[in-house]
Amino acid sequence: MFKISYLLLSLSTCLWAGARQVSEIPPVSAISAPPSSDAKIHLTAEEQQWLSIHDGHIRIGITVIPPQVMEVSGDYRGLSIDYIRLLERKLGCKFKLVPYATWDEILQAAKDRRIDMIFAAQQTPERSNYLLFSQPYIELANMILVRQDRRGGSNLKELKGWKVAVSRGSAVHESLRHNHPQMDLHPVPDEVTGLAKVSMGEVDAMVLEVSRASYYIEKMGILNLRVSGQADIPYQLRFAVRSDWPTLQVVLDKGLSMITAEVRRSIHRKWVFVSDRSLFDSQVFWISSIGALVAIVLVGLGVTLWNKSLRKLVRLRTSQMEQQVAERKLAEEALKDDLKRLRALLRILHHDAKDRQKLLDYALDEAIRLTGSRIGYIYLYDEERQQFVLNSWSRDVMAECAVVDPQTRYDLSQTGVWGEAVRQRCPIILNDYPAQHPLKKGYPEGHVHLKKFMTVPIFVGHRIVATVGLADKETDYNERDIIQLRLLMEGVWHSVTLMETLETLAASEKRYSGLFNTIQEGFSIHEIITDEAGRPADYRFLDVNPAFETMTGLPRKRWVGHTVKEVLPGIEHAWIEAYGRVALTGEPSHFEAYAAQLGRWFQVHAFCSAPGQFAVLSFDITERKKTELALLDMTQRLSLAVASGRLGIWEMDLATAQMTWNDEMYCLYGCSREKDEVLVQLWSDSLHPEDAPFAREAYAAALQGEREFDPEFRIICPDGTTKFIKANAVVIRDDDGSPLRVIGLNRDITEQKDAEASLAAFNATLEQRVKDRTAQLEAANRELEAFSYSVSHDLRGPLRGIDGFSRALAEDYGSRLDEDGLHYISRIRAGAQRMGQLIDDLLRLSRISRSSLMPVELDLAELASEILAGLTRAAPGRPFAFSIQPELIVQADRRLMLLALENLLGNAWKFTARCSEVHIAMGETLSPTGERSFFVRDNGVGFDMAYVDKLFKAFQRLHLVSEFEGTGIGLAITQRVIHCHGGRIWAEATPDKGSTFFFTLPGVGDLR
Amino acid sequence: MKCSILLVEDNPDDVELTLRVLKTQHIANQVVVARDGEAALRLFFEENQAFSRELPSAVLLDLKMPKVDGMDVLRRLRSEPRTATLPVVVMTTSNEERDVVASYQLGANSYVRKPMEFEEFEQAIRNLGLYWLILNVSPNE
Repeated sequence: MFKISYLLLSLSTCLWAGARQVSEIPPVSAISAPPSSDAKIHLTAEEQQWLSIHDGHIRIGITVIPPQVMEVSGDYRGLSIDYIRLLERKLGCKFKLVPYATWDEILQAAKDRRIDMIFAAQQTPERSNYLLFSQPYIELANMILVRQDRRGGSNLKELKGWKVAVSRGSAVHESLRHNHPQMDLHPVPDEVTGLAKVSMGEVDAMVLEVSRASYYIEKMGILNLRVSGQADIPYQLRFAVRSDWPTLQVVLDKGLSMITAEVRRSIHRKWVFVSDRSLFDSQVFWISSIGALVAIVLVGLGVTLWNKSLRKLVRLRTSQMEQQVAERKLAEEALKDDLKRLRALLRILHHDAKDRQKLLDYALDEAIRLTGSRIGYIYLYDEERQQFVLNSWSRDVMAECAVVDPQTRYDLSQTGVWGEAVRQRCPIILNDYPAQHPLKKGYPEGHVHLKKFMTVPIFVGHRIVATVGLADKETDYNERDIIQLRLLMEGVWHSVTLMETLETLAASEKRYSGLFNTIQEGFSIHEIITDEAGRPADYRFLDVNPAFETMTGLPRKRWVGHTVKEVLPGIEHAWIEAYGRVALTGEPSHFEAYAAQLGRWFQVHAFCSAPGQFAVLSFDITERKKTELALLDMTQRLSLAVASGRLGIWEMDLATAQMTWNDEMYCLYGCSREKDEVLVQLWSDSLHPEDAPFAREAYAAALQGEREFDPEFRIICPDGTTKFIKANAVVIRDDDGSPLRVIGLNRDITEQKDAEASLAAFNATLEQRVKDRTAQLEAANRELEAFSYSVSHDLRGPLRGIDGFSRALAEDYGSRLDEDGLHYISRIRAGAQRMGQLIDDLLRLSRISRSSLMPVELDLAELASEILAGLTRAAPGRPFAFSIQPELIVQADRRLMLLALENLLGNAWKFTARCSEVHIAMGETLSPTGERSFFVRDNGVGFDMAYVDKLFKAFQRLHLVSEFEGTGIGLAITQRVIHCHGGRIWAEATPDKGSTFFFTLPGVGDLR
Repeated sequence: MKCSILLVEDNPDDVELTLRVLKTQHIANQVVVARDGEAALRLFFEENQAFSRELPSAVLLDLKMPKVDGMDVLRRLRSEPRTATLPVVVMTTSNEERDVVASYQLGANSYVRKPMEFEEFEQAIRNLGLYWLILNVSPNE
């Protein structure tokens, strides 16, 4: 090939040859690319994070380097630009293009880190100092260009001693400088200058990449140049990134490796060939070429050769035209595809689907139609579970499919070739489905048989959310179907996501409002109100739930829209401060506090619901607080009781045989708290030798559960004092009844014991004293009885003699006595009889004191009526008026009460004897001191209250015997009866107006 | 001695007054007086005494007497089979309850308190004589 071109070149058809050579160099060298290259790129989490941080901030320096970069009406286009855009798509990020005037400036900017990345760069050692290079994305050849009239220069060696132009700073420049120092290098600022110098003969040659050479030659119309040979310098274009960004280098390499050979070819065709074509299209080219050909003819070279060249040219031209037509057609088809797809998408979006299921069903139909398929499915995919769930399948599948029990749920591992879309994360096409395939696992029985099959994963971000499978298109599935399906489904999925977001939002709103209205806890939302200094000063209620109304007892309208200070003017500022912190810092808070105005305790959880706002979940914990306070109170009281009761408390852990004492225990046992003291031993040793056995036995019995531990024992303290201890203990047992711990009390009862002892001693002597005293009393009593007995017998006897013999004297010797004598006898007799009466009364009085009371329930009114009846019978004809209050029920001795009432009523009867009208009354009243008392009132002679003291004394009389008979014993007897009943008797009287006697009978229970 | 009464009384006044009343009833000659308890018992339990063989219709017995008092006499009389059923009327100045109870417990047939006023005393004695000598039927007859 090169030989032919050489021939052509030698025949001055250099430009053709250059063009041919370009066309025949494989446009893209065998840079490896993966077979199924349209899959998404695999980036590590770090790389993704790096990219997302730097997205839009990666600066790429660019300058016009045709055909890599060209400026077309303010926009940059070109081969490398296509690669940049492709990488942006693959990596999902944007680069920032920073334009520079020259390549030199770009390099300088890269060194200075004013840009982060360059492209269309060749790797050189010098550049590697500050740049990291990606793999080459395009590989072209460097050519040697000379003036037509210049011979030689077919390789770099032949350029020895030549003046060679190179772009200053270019990779070629660097390479030549290092490897061919013998060359006379003439660096030029740009290719145009260099080519012009070659053309003018200022330099002998220029080394330049061929595509650029052709571009400039065409653009400038330089015609006297030719390609003399190939420079042995690889022209590999790479991206390069600042050396401190290795991640970007790795990412770019990954991105580049995802670009398929086909894509590379199409890019290359687009730019490098266009460039070639332009060369031939240009008028300059043709004019100059024809000129050259005429010259060739004129120099006499063969017409045949010219013709041959011309035919070749025509052939080339034709193929270029055909390609142009094909490309236009391709573009038209792409446009049609877009239209079809957009219509389908529009229909889907306008389809009134109830839910995702329905929407996807409809989308599947559209996808089938769009790709010309016959059947299809959509499986939803869960990346976490690695599981497929069938969402939609086409009606035809159902009609044809006879799977008995269709499985709608598949684990990724179960799937056959249709799961490859997920496993490889890229579309899969099988246009000869019935053919053998290592990944196919076979149909389920009855499954419809497929001819052609395509499946595409649907991504949301980097997650696969579904796979769509289509089958049985008439023709083969191709890249276009994939693009159509992916673009359609991605559009659909936007809609699905939106639909789900709305549904989630609605569900969330429903859940929230349900919760808000039904929770037992109060829930309220507020905005904080701050003062000028920005400190929280108040807060306003925005919303409260029903539980909050119940809890606070105030209706919603009292809260919402009002500030807390309006509703609760006495609110503690601590509440506002606490909530202010939440609203202003966003830090959630929970605490318990008392709202004095509501009289309740609340536990609140507050969080910042929006800037400057806060929401509060309140629990009414008043009851719990009360219990806690009560418990605390009780604990304090208990402590107080332990302290004030001077109680020694001990606890025994039976598992470890460890005993612990409180301070009072040490105090009781008279020892100080010392380390390493074995307290069990200390207790045992302290026991009084006499009490030790039963105290230990009681403890053992308590552990056995035989009886309570509550002994009293003596201990001997180290200082020798003996103390009495009252002990109590409870044994705490596990579920099986085995004792775990013993907790006990010790109380010093020495003082109590001493007191008991002295009391017992006192009681012992007391009994003796009582016995002695009783004996004395009994003796006195006996003497009194003897006296009374003697009086009864001996005092009355002589009186009877006096009376009897006086009578005998009067009877037997009355005739011998004068009137005076008889009168004296009668006086003697009267005196004796009165003496007898006195003795009888005295005896009666003395007997009352000795009588045993026999209290019974009796009616004083009834007794009084009987007595009065007797009195009136003895004195018929005396006018009287009695008034006795009925039912004067008392507990008293009947015989004694009869005696007392006989005296009182007898007196009343006696002292009213001279009244023309007798009024005697008896009844019940209240004494001045409020006691129940009885009275006997008459309208008789009464008495002078000056002598009331003498009234109840024996033998004391307030009236003459001649006026009213009586011994003066009656009231003394009455008083004794009343006293015997524990009562009191007193009298009120007015002379000649009558008297009233009062008495009480409080009770007789303890009067014996 | 048939239809007689034994009066056991240490007080000579009472004896005289009693006999004076009985005399008016014409039964004074049927009365045997013992000046104390000892003398009274001798009449029953010694040979050739007034009641060695026959018993009186009734005994009027004073209680308070020197040496052997009325209770002793009564106890002794009741302890002897011959006099166990002899009508004994305790006639004394006192109406001490314990005397009344004790007398009946020892088997007295009646308890009479000697009234102090003579008219009442006279009436009492008259009634006693009439009752015991005439009306009453004694087991010994």
